[in-house]
Amino acid sequence: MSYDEHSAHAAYAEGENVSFTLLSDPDSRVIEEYGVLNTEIPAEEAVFHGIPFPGTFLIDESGIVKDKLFARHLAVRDSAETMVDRMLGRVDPGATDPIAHVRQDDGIEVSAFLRGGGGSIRIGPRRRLMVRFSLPPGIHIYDAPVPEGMVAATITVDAPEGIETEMARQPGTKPLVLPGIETPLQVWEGEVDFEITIYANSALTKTVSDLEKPEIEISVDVRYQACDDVQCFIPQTRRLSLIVPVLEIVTPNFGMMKGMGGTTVNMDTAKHFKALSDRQTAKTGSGGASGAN
Amino acid sequence: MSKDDLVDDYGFWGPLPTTMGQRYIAPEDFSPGIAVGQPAPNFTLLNQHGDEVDFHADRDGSKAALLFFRSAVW
Repeated sequence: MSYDEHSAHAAYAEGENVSFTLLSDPDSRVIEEYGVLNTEIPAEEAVFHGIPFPGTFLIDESGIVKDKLFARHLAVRDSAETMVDRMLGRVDPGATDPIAHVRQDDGIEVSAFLRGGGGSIRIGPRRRLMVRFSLPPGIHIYDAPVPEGMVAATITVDAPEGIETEMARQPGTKPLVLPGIETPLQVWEGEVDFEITIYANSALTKTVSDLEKPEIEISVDVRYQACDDVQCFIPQTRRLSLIVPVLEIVTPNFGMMKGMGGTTVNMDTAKHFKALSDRQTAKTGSGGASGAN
Repeated sequence: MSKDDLVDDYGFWGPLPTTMGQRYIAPEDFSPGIAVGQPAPNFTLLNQHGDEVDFHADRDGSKAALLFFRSAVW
């Protein structure tokens, strides 16, 4: 839903092959009723006042709001695939997701895969970079802090300019009491998933323009020391590399909005912007049709 | 206007200065609007074909994801 005219939605849906329903709320009445009017834009900015804060309500069969997905940044939001993943609680790699594995002699397996964008990345929407440790029974690895001489597990991401990452979720640890150490150590065992939020910003445009093929390498460096009840093994450092295709962003095809790179939207943006602009200024115009309710 | 005025804290470039409400970066745990557990208000609005959509009636008992976006135009 947006404050666009339905004719603008029609042009957009046709140009971009959108098959789901686009709802037109030209008075921003429903936007207000849902409490999501962007109040950071003053009413005097007639053309832009009326847009919502971007986000999604998940509504159940009986019409109750079950979840809300809003983000701090306009562009850095969950993709549709991530929303579905979250609803289903799914974290397994899909058929087209970039994935890398390493398997050690000690039986420890580590994999990294990218979820949330059909295997690709583009400027804006968040992806989930999952790092999965599969530890054989009786084996554990350590969370920080560890005593001198031991190595805690670390995960670092090496990605080109324009890719931002942040550890989003660490799996829960179990306490391990060792003789001679006062505070229990925190360990992971079994199959554990680390989730790293990853997104691309405008700097990726420059990175990709220097490439022959629009794809980037994202590497995950894992370091850990595995132990069982009797002994500890030599600390390991392993690199998992993912090759990720970069999709172009779609931008409006008029004036200053064209400077953002990517491909322009397949519709007559200027015409629809003029109509939107005229409608919005008429709301607050001298004709007495004041915006006040 | 310097380049910095157009690049926000997340590293995104935009044609409007970052101080404008269009480029607002919300606080942590931003969650505006109808609370979880509350009924979603009904509405009747036009879809892209110009047909009226009565939200709850036309859902016909299925779940829905209701996504609010800025504009298809700008």
